[in-house]
Amino acid sequence: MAAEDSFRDYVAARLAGLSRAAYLLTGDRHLAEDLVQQALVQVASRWERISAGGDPDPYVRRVLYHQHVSWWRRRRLVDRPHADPPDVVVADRVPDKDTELTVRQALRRLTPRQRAVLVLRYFEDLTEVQTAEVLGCSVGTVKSNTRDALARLRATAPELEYLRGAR
Amino acid sequence: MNGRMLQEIADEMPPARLPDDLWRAGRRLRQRRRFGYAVAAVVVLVLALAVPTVAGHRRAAVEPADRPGAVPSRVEQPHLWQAAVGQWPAGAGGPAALVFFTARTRYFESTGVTVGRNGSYRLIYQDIGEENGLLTPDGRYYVRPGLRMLDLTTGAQRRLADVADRSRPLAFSPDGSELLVGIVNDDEGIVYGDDAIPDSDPEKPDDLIAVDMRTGAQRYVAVGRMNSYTTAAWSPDGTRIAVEGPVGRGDVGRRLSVMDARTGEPISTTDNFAPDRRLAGRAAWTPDGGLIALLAFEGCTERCDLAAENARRWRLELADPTSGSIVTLPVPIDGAPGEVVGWRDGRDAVLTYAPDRDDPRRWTLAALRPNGEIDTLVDTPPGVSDLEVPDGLLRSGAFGGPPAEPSIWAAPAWAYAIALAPVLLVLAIVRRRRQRARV
Repeated sequence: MAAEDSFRDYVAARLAGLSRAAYLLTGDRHLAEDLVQQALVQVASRWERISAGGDPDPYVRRVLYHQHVSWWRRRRLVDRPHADPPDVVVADRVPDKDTELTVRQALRRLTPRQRAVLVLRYFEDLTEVQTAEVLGCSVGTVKSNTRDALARLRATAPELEYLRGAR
Repeated sequence: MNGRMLQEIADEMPPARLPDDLWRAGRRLRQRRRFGYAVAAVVVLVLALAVPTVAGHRRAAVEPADRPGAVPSRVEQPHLWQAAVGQWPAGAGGPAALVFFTARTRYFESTGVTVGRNGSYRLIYQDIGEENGLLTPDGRYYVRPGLRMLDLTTGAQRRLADVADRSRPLAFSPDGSELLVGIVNDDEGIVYGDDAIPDSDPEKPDDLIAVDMRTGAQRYVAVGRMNSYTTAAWSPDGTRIAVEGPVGRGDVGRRLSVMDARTGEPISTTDNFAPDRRLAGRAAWTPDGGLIALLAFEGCTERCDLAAENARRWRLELADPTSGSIVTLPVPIDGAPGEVVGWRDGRDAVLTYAPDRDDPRRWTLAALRPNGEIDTLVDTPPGVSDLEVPDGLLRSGAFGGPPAEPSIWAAPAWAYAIALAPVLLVLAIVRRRRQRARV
């Protein structure tokens, strides 16, 4: 029972953050929920080993991102109707609202890997080395994916001119 | 890239709703994963055992058919699930190096077991009451009574000539081109004599024919003359044959007849009404063709029980084929001889042999030296009898091959189905439980 309790504590503490990352990865609330659930089931199946290793975050993050790429590979996302940008009532945040919509649409045109790189680097604030560890690839691959992702964003949304300086 | 922009987009996502049994779902996943590992481990183990064996069989199967091979120095009882000839064809390496008979098979009756030159074990099913047959000199075919030729490499069977099922193959000519066959003319199920044992009808003596192995053409060698033909031996030069069989009412006597192999003209005939001597077997002629080997014994000759039969003292004698007289000192045999099937180094008789006279359930193949010493050529476990070695290997003296053990994988398809059934059942149960859990 101690393992189950510690798992519940961990989920309660990290659920909001995981859900937000999943939303950025999928661009859809329902898919984000599914992704979080599936990732946490995987985590629960190995919880004793994960928690014994200290900080569970790196492993949980790895599961989340790999699950997302795995979905894409299995074409699950293609088969499912892709939701439009969430139709939620939010406070008017102009003047950034137009830019936000543009970013959201531009993100959708990235591959899951490119998207994951951006989310890990600019949302989770991980270094290139940490990002490479989560995605199980080399630092060079992280760099090239970042470069390609930003280039695609600039190409699909020229109005995001300020991205030019981002590296 | 602007991290603040991503933060604002992410703010739109509330914490994901989670099912109540998230932890239990994780446990179930763990169980499935462990089950998968176990199945994978079993599969790997099975493959690790099976692949080298199957690869060995495949290597053996592509060996050229004319490879001489050797008689294995030891054989074992087959597995209960051993494939019969044809259920898993032994291929090009399948010609027999040896055939033996045993009741310890799934048929629970005397069953032939062919041990191929590639070491393969296959069963030869026998009909109820079927007598043993002969191997062709190259070991490829097992000739069953009725001249049914069973191809030991494929399992296909064909009839060489139109003869009755009871017709019994006796001996191949030295060049393998002809086969002596005893044609049974008796009615079935008639009892003669005083011991209630069905005997040959002296009013309907059998015939002896030679069948051309290539064409199936039949040639009469002897018509009548004996109640039946039990043993025949072809002289090494192929010109004469020695034939033996019972004569008289109730098969009380034995007649040994040496005749011209072409015309059937008798050269000598010896009747013996004391059944303590018999023609030694299909290889009774000495390699130089000068003498005929006989197996004789001292001991009980009439109405003998098992103990009395086992107590007989056997010896090998050599007789002049023309006069029938014994011309050499007898060779004592410390055991029970079956039949002389060949010669080693032109001197030692190769015979089927029961080493323990008190336990005649284990027959081996042995060489009998002139001084009576026995060399075991093929060792066997208890329950093995009637060893057959193709003439080709006997003549080349190719003994002492590596011991042959039956492969556990050479099994019929139904054996694999039975072995897999528990695994499939477990998988079906697991799947059903998972489906119920989802509901």
